[in-house]
Amino acid sequence: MMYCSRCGTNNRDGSKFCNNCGAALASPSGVTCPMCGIANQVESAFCANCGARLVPLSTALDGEDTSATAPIKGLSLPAKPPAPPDAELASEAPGQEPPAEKMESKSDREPPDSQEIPDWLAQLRAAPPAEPAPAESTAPDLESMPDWIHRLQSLEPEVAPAEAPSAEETAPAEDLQPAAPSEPETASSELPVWLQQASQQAPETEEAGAAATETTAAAEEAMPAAGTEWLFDVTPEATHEAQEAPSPAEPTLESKEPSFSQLLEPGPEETTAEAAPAAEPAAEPQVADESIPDWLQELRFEAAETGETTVTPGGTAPAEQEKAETAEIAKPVELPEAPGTTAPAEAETIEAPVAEETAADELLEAPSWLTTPLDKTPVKDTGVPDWVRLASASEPAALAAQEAESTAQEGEPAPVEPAEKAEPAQTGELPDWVSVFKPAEAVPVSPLDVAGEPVETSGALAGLRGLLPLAAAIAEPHVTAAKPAPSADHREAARLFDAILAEPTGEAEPVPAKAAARTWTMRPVIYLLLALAVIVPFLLPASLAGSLLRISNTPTAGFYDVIQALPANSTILLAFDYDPSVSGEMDLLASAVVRDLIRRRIKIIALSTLETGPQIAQGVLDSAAKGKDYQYGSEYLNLGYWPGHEAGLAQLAATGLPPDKRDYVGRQALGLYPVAAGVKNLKEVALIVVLAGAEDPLKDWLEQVQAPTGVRVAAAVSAGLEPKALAYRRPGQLVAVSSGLVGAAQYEVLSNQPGRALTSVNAQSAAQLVLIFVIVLGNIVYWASRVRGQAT
Amino acid sequence: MKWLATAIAIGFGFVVLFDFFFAHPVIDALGAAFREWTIILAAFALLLGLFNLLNVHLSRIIRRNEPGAGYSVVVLLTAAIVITLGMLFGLPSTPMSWVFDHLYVPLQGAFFALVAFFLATAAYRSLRARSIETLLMLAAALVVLLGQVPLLPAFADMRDWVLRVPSEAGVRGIMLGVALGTIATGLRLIVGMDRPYSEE
Repeated sequence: MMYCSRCGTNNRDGSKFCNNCGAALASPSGVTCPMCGIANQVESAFCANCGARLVPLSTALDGEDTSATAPIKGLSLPAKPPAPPDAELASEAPGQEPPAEKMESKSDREPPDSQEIPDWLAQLRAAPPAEPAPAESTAPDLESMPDWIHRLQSLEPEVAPAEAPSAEETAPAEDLQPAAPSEPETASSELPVWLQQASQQAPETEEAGAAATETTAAAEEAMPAAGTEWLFDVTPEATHEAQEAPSPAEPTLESKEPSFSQLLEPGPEETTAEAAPAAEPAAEPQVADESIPDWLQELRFEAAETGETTVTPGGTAPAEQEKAETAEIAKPVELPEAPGTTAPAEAETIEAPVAEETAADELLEAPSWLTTPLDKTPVKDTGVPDWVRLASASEPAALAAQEAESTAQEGEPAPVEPAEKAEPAQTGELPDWVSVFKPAEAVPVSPLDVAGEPVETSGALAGLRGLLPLAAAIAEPHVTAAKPAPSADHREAARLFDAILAEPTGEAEPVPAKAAARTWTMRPVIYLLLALAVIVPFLLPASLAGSLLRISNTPTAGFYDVIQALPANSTILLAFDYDPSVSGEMDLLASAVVRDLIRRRIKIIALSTLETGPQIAQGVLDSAAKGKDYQYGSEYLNLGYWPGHEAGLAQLAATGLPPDKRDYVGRQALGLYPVAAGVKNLKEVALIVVLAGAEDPLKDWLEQVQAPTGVRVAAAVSAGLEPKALAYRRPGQLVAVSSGLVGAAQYEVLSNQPGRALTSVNAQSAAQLVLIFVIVLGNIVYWASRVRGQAT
Repeated sequence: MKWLATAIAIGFGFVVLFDFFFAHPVIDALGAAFREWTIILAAFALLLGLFNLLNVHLSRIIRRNEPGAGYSVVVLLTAAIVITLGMLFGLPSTPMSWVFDHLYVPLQGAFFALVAFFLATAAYRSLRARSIETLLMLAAALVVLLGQVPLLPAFADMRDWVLRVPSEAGVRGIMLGVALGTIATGLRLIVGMDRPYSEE
């Protein structure tokens, strides 16, 4: 259901007009299709019913393809009504008139209260065309008009409903044009109600004489639907056509046709001395100041102060006089144009359109549909709020200047336009789409405050002054505290400074080179202590450390137990995976283990995943087997370097010892050695002992060999690797762990084979004691210096 | 041709992965073959390293004015001598054992022994109780050092506790994190998300 916005009557869906009051029922938030009248969504670019374009194409710049211009999305303002095909044809073929029924629809509307119209819009409406419609002007297609124009039109429903259709039903434009001069004596009763009301507000005007009434009637006749037709009767095409085919009746109309605003003229005494003086002041009825918004009062105040003048060519219509003002007003208002129609106000001189064209060409930034009607619409500047004018960044001041120049070429004096009185514009009466432009805070700014401020030259705020009052802030003097009086010390310091400056400059005395002070450090002392701690213990008996070693319940004890649990004549795999850098520590541990294995007659197959490992293994094995009747090949074997790291160990776990691999010493196949003949795969070895000096070899053995085969693996590692090796010990991946020089000494004690490990552990213990001393000494020095620093 | 390298890498990776988890004759044979290829390629990597070493030092000698060119001469001469001895007498020969036992091992041990002196001076300057955290670290270091010394058996149990509880917990956390990262990296390589072989 559709509710009438005027009387509230509920109407059927799809109704165009109210059943009760006849008001248009187009959705206020939608866009009415100019072709079929269906209300469409605001963002619609084309009619959902008939496909007609609802949003106008923007004016293309030089060489720009207008077809590629996207429709204006989210436009809440009434968009420019599209040019229906018939309207375009009408504009191209002068004389063709719109269907009569469309005109009738306009007359059916009930006129709204004129008080609801913003005054400045009323003034726009009241501004009469200076000249009659050109010959090619045609009646506008009312169906193609947006709603808000319909509403504007409905303000004057009684604009000769009989005359206009009858004149238009005669179809030819030639008939329309002479209609104005042919019926100059239109009775006042034929005037629209709003005109009559306006006339009643200014009774002096009607009482002044019949001339004004007659001219008003003549103008009404000359312009069918004269009240608002000028709003959409301005197109560049029509302007050009008007130049090309001027109407023969044009001079007559120029001289005789008065403006509609003459009806609102308060009286002949208030008019200017212009030929058509009633236009500007008559459009501004007297309004109480308190009913005028502040921004309008300011506007009027500015207008009164500046004393806007308009150069009016003699003999031309008021539209010529107000052309510059029109350019400023109509464009911010964004009055849409009705395509295919020509404005009655286009009754201009031949020169005027040329000048407008030049000005319009300079304003490439503004769409043509915005700029074009401005040039043609005779609207007073003062009737438009200032914020509306400022809202347009493309408002061409040059346009007005050029217009003034064009009019000045006429040689006519430029009469001073009287101060215009802005009509009261109630905010609540403004159309919503116009209210959008109104600033949120309409606080009037005194011109004095912003007079010296810069003017925005670009962007949406172009033309505004004093937006950033930085200059005023900079101009303010700095407020500084009063300087205190200089004290006696300050005076003395200043005197000394002056005395120093007054002294003559002389040759700088050479400063004797200061001998580089030797900074004493603890480093030599530490080195000396450490060297002594390593050397001296070798001079002491080995039993000193051995007697104090803790043996039981140590990891080495567990390692020893695992070795002792091996059956006799079993075979173990011994991996010498440490390099010579840690051989000083690891050789002792490896030697202790190997000697115990030889003692227990355990067969050893040695290999290494490092390049340097085989030589180390050979040296340890040979020294341990020396004198023990432990034969190479039959009881121990050195496989040498086992390349590939992870891949090699994975291959070893998968395939076992390859029988064709050659050993490190004899360079013969492993199958020839009895110690390796009985080992087909790693599961046949009793234990794998990894002598690792770094983490990677130990991890490779555990990941690539122990995990897939499940063979038992024990590790004898360096002291630095002990924490990581212990992490594998608790989960069972390593069955035993022994580490470092202490582990070697413990193993020697456990196996009752004292060796170099017990001697070396004394030196290691002494070195560690020195290290502890150094650490404690460093902390004492640090804290002492810190306490001394705090004390000072 | 990048897709070919990626396809080869993905295919070989999946075969080796399946070989690790499943026991199938075909997959086992393929996995064994691929591992053999890897071992051979690793051996060739040693040769490439040797050639690169010779190239770098030869270039430095040819430029002459390069600082340290004399050391490059020593490096090349030493390499030539060792290679000659190894090719003439074999790897486990007496000359090679002498070079290894009396040159290589002492030099390596000496460099590693210097770490003790550096650690001593660093401990003097750095292991200072500036805060609660450094105090805890200092205390743990002292306990482990004292427990390592056989002359002070009273600290042995404290040392074992430090190594068994807090230290092992931290090491396990690190190892688990490394393992998870290794799995993620392996999966990225297998599915082709990381392609270090194609210079991307």
